[in-house]
Amino acid sequence: MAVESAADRSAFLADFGSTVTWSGGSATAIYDQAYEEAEFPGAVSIGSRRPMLRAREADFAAVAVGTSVTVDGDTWRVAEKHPDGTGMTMILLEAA
Amino acid sequence: MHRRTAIRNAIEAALDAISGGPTVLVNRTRPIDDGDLPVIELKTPTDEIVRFDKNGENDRRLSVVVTVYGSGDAAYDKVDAWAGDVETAVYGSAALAALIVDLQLDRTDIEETDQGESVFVTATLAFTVRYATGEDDPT
Repeated sequence: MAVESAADRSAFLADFGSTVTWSGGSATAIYDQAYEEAEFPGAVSIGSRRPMLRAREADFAAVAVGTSVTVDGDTWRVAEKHPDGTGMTMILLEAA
Repeated sequence: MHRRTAIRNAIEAALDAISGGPTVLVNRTRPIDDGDLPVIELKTPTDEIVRFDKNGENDRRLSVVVTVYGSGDAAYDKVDAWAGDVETAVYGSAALAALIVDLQLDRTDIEETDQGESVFVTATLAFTVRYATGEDDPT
């Protein structure tokens, strides 16, 4: 028996998520942009952010890498999609 | 002022004079905010005395490391172009030439990462500067 259902995941996203829009669709995802440092051997690191979405994989199935998305007033480009095998996916974003 | 400091200052001035070039930081230790890019960082991490001259002169090798940082689309090409400007500026500095015996670019390393909201690229140029000072007078 699965630990969580699609309905559980939807309820979780409804409580904590933001609306993400793209050309031709929209869905709810949890939006983070935590501080991250890009490191280089022997050089000072660059302080940046790691923008990402956590969402139901099915809701973003049509969103391909390279798609422009808008969330909370920020516009990004989808850089990578990392499905976790349980129905959720992590979508890494980059500057559009 | 130690001759090493004077050399670093001369290189900083040469890098500052690059037309339309990035901001120059010296001996930076904290992370660089991506909003401040592009930047050039200058450091002189080691100063090796190669031999003790019988005439009381120290023959020295100063390592000079210049790192160019850039981000975004076409960052690789932009950083590569600035690295060329760095070479031209350092070798063309009359103020630096007056302080040293010789100068050599040993290597350039270009690194690229997407660790963050953008693509970041660095070009690190490692120079060796040969200069001489008196044993009891490093100025």
